[in-house]
Amino acid sequence: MAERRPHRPLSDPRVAMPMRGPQDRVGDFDEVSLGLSLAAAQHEAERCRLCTRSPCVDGCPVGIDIPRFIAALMDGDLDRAHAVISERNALPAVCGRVCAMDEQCERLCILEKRHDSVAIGSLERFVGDWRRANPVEATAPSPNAATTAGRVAVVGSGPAGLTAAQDLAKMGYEVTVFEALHRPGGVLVYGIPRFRLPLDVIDEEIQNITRLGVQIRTNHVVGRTTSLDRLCSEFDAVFLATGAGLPIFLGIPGESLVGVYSGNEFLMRVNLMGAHRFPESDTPVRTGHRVVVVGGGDTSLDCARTALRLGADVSLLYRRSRELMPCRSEEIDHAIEEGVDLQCETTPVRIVGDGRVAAVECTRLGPGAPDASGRASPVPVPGSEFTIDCDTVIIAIGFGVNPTVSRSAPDLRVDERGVVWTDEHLATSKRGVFAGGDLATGGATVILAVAQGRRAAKSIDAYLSGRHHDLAVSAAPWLSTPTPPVGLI
Amino acid sequence: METACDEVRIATDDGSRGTRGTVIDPLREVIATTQVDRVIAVGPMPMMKAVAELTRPSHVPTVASLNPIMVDGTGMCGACRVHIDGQVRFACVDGPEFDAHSVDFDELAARLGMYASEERTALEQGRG
Ligand SMILES: Cc1cc2nc3c(=O)[nH]c(=O)nc-3n(C[C@H](O)[C@H](O)[C@H](O)COP(=O)(O)OP(=O)(O)OC[C@H]3O[C@@H](n4cnc5c(N)ncnc54)[C@H](O)[C@@H]3O)c2cc1C
Ligand code: FES
Repeated sequence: MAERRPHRPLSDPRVAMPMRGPQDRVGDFDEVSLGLSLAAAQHEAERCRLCTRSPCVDGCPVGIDIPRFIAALMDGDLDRAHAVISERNALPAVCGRVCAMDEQCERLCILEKRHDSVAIGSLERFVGDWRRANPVEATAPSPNAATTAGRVAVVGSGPAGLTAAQDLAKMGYEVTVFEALHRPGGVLVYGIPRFRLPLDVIDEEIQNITRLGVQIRTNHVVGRTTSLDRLCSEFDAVFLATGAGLPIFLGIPGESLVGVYSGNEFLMRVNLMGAHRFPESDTPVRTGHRVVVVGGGDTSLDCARTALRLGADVSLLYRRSRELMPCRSEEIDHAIEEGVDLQCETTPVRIVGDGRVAAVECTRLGPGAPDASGRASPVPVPGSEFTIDCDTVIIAIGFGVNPTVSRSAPDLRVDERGVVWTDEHLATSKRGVFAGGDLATGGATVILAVAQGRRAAKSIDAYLSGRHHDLAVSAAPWLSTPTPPVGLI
Repeated sequence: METACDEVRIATDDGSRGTRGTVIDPLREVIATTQVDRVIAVGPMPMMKAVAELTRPSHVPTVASLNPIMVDGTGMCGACRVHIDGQVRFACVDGPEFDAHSVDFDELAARLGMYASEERTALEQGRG
């Protein structure tokens, strides 16, 4: 092994991620950030102090041993770097692109106080991409081993479901994933646009999982095509990971006019059905000349930047200040560079038009009394009303939990928002059924979904091996009680 | 149909089978002469709307199976939203059968026409 190179001086600037220029990138759907070269990645790795306290690890929702992977990268041992990340994160090339590192690991980096933090996210992406370019043949466990360990159904193929499927397959379970859509990947495929997360990155992660013997059955809506009870009778355990994909509307007049989309509909048409290529693809999408997007999270920015790429002028309305936008700050910068007109402290009050959208009536907002989250709840500023003429309005203000599965299974306990109740092991109120990801957290992040998928796999293994071998009763307390745990809510 | 029904009445636009005209005429006759417990309308939107208008005065329970534009069909996009009694419902997961007297058919008709020109383009390419 090559000798470890010395740390670089603290004052050395952080290596910037190479990006395509805004003019160039709005012309297509290709990826915006280009990734680091090996030399640049190692150069950046050498800024890391490899400190033993490693606060960055505390900032990582799955606790990747960041200094250890960076040390391996410094040593040029990329196999080891990848192995260290994979101990905790099944989707490094994905998370290296979409995690909000500036609020997680990088925020706690000791360099952050005086200098810029180490570019941990860019390094994770580098290692993930290196593995994509240098794949290893995954070895599927022998079919014999699989049948003895047990059969598990995973419902939903987003990051939570895929992670659980991968972990369970590695433990020797026979895993079948049921996915409602015609493509696996969840939000990674239908929500996050290709210019942030190219399809081949997701497809390769999925192939790694199917190579382990995991079956993915697409076009299967659990609760409709198959019932949860049926899955329970055919499988030894079920993991529900159906996400939080129920679009929320504002409830203002005009929301059903032709030309009003939910963020999900707009993104699905383009990302999943290739509407930007219509008429070569079967599904069209309409933007017209001017698009107004409402919202402030990742989805709203993805809609705004997608609409720009379809050739429209785009205004984005957010009801609070820019600092409070619940999304990756990098994406706001990217959107503004590309030409999105960001209007903060603004909300639509009515969409007008004769059958079809013609304009949005808006009002400016000022701070009002604090709400439940402690933030000032925005209130209209009298006399500040104005109108934006537009052809399309996209509502991307958040998601609820899709009720399809829980409606078909009355014994599955949910709260008033439809969030499925789970205990600390992610067991639901229905025996043998576990749940995690956005479905149980009510809309979070990719990395938290990965963490939940991993935790669910451990719990399912404890549950099933306990049944077979009387093991893990302490890890799975519901085994010792005839009735499953029931929460308050 | 005949094996499942006591009586089948057919209406065609050109009169080539059954009565000439729409299904509204035979339906009007049946409702006027028979005790009808339920009407179920499945088909083009203007027909379902006309059926709803016909049965509304006599309060015959009427079900319409709605066919709005759908994208995913799993409750995740809201493209299929319809107003039922003033409430927004997603036809793919909350329906598609609804009380026909509560449906906002005008809104549904406008939304169904959203991609008329694109549909023509696709049809011309032989992919309609
Ligand atoms: C547009 C957008 C952008 C985002 N950007 C980011 C980002 O940059 N960074 C970040 O960390 N997070 C981001 N998020 C959030 C993140 O994507 C989610 O938190 C994460 O994907 C949740 O994973 P999941 O596995 O729980 O569910 P999902 O990814 O939602 O996957 C659920 C899957 O279950 C399927 N399903 C649903 N119902 C059924 C059923 N009845 N039967 C079978 N299958 C079913 C769905 O089709 C879907 O494929 C974004 C979200 C959106 C919508
Ligand atoms: S078709 Fe998407 S919600 Fe009904």
